[in-house]
Amino acid sequence: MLSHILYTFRLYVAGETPSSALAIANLSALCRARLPDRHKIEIIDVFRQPKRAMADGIIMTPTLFKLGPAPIRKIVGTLSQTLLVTQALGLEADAA
Amino acid sequence: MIPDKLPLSVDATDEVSTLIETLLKTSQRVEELTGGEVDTVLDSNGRAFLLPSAQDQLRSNEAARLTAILNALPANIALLDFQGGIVLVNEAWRQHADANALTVPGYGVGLNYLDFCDRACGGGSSDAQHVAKGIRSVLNSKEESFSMEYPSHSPTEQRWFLLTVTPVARNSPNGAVIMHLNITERKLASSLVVESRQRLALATESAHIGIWDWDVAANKMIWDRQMYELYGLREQDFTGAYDAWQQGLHPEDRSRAEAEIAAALAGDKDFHSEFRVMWPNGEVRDIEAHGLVQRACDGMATRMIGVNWDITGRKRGESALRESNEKFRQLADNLTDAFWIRSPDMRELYYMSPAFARIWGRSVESMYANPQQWADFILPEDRERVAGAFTALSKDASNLDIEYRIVRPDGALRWIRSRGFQVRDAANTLIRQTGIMTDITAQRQAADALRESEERYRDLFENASDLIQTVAANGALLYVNQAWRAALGYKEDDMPSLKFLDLISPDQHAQTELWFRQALAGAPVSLVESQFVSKTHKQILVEGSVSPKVVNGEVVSLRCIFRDVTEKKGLEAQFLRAQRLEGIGALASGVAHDLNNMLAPILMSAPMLRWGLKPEQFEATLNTIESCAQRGAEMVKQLLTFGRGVEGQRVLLQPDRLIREIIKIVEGTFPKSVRVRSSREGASWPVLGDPTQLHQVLLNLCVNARDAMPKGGTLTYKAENVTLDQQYAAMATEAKAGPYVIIRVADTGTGIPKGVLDRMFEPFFTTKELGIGTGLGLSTVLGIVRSHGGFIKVDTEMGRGTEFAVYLPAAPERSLQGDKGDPSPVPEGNGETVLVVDDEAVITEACRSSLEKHGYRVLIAHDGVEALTIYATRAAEIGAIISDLEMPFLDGVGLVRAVKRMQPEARILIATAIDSSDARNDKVAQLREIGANSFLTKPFNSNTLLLALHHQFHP
Repeated sequence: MLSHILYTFRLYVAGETPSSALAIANLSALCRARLPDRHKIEIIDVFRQPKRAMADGIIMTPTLFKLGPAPIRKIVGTLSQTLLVTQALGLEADAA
Repeated sequence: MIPDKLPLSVDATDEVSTLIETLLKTSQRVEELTGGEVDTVLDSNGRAFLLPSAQDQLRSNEAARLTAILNALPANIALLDFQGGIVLVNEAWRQHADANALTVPGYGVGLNYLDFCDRACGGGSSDAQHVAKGIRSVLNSKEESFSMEYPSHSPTEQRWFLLTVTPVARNSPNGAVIMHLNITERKLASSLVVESRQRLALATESAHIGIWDWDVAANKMIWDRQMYELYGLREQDFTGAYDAWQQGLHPEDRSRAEAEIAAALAGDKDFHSEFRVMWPNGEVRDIEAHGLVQRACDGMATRMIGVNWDITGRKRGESALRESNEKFRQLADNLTDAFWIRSPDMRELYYMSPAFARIWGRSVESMYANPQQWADFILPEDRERVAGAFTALSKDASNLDIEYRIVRPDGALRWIRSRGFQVRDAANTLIRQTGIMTDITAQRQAADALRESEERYRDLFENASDLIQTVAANGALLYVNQAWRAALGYKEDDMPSLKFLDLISPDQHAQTELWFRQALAGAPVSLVESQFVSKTHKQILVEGSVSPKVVNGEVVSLRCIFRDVTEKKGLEAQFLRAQRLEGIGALASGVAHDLNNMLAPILMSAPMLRWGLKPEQFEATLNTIESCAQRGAEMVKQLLTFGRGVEGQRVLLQPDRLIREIIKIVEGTFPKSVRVRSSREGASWPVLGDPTQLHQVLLNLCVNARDAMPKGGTLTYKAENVTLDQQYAAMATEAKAGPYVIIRVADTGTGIPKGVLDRMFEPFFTTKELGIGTGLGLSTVLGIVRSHGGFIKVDTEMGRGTEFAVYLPAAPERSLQGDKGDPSPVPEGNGETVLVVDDEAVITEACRSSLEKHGYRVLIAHDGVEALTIYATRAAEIGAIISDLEMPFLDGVGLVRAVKRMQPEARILIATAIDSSDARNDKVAQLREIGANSFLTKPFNSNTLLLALHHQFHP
């Protein structure tokens, strides 16, 4: 029943830096695996859009911003530790 | 990060060092805190600060990417600094150097590229000098770029390169990229294109192939020289527009060719077409055309390129061949005979016409599929013979002509006539076999039927008992049958020397020649009697018929069919002799009877004379005696004539008078129990006849009537006039149309039984006791009546009586000349209106008085015009016209013509003194021509007038 809930993400990166590229890859993989067809990812390059980073209170890249469903969460890093990331995003129950 | 134009002072050095220390420590600390997961940190304004590790990684990534791109490019690339020193070279450069054994340490990196060029210039390479100059101008920002093509041939192959020099940064001297691109292939290809283009032009020109190129969007057609020749146009006359091409097409092919172009443009199919073009001078050529369509990426046709060439010669050949083939096919298809073509050895079938299917009942396709199978359909008995004939055809030069039978799928047998011919070429080599198969079943059947029929007839003739012979016009015997040979004893060998007359008894020759000639003239002769003489001189009596056989209007032979009647004739003669004896006996008694009838009154009268009579009785008795004796004498005379068969005399007779005479005799001689009556309707017409013979007829009928009334009864005579019409004549064979007098003799006797009725007119037939009748009475009566052109009708009813009606042809027109002063009453009119026309009042008044006295109404006219006026107004009322011939104003002829025109049936009596039988008289001839045949000869008396008029109303 929960499987129809749409997950909305905003990922802040810095150009083509290695951690940012890794974060994009990890998030995409995670979404494909756990949230197929019910996720939306917006990627924001802080070099290009510094105003938006400031508005969302981002101080580091890469930072993942989960906008929905509630609660809103921010996760900093390359998102390589999948288990921790899924816990932090509240995807465990959903997967079960 | 550091401002460009910051004046760096010594005082600031320490502070800068401290800040760098801080920066490094800060960076290290942030990286420690974030575990290497973060590459930037942002300040409160969103400005990002790239952490050192991330900076390093980015830089090395960038370099690696650049190197990879450079190495991936096929061109030899070197990066020069602003002085021309080689900073780096790519993989292609290195490979090129290796391949060309250019032993420069480090592939020239660190050396100055310009030095290379300058050194090469010393070797005389103007290209190198040019290159060096180009590079310098780019490095000095004098030129935006520089490029040149140059050959660089190795010992083994030709090579060309394209050198490009591109500045690294546009505005400041910051080095340049040198690239050598191998363009050998492109170079070669372009020279090949030129070459092939030349070859193509040569080919198209020599093959008269025109090439066209049509820019569809711009509607511009480019033609090569050949195209102009093909269309008979000069270059300056062709606008290059599509319409100009289309105008050159033959009008009949134009719309089709355009449709094909349109279809090609639409992409439905490629353009392959044949059409005719019409030159401005009217010459027509056949063109074959092909075209390819080029399309833009949206699929719209942009361009069409194609070729045209002249196929006029081929076309004409094709159409001639096609026509020839078509003619052959039509001929073969319409032949009722099957036509075939085979290989010289007969194994292969090249062609079989459709008639095969009709004749053999098997499809032509099956024949093609199995060319040898036809032999299986031949009737087994004929198969070997056919196979032999066909083998001979395939081996020898002889032609084939054979007839055989086949079995159709439905089991029907067909007769086939097969003819075969060999076809040889000019060198007399057998190239194929051809043949025709004809269905001759019907002919065969007809021939069979004819043979059968001939056999049947020959059989019939041969076995006939009659003597049958065919005699040629010259008398030669063409055919004689078995019975003939048997009767005449001649053998087949004797025939050629025999003539027909040789067979005839010499005393018959004259007679034979007579009928032989008649038959030769074309008239069949029947009832020929003749006498043959056999080989053994035996006399043979024959009778038969001879009929001429006519071919093309000429008698070629005579068919004679005779029967041997030698025996029959003998028997007949004996029979006749016996009959004659019998007949004489019978005749004697019959004559005796008739004579007794005559003698009886005489015998009865004689005693009366003896007793003495009153003078008037005496006279009457003498008259009776005289009359009877006279009749008796006449009867004897008539008997003699009857025996001889001589025709009696013909005089005009009044039937009434005949009856009166008979009544006189009958009343005097018949028993009183027989009452005699006579009734008449006016005067009977006269007849032409023999009074004695007619007397005999009536007397005979009276005697028979008397005999039919042994207990007495009434005998009635009656004469009446009758006109038999065509309808009656058609129904009674003996009767002819025309006027007749019927004399009826009726009795109230026993009637005639049926069996007797049928036979009573036969000679020698009698119902009377032997010795009383001759049996010749009624047959004589009939003979006499027939000889007068009349006939007899009998009406009989058993127990009630019989009436014989004797019909004798009458001659009413002779009545006027006949019995002058005959006191017979004049016929009365019945109120009919008669128009009398005469210019003499005496005559009209005389006519009026006598006609009115006798029951007619009379109108008078004194000339033709007046008569016509009266007739025109009262035609319906006027029953007849009596007109004078000679009158003023309008004479009789004119009057008759006018009246006949108004009423063709009008009754007109012409009164004239002219002899009406004189056909040479003009007026008589004219009158007869217009149908006026009734004449009244002037002068006429009242009776004549009334009779003639009565005859008009009662013809």
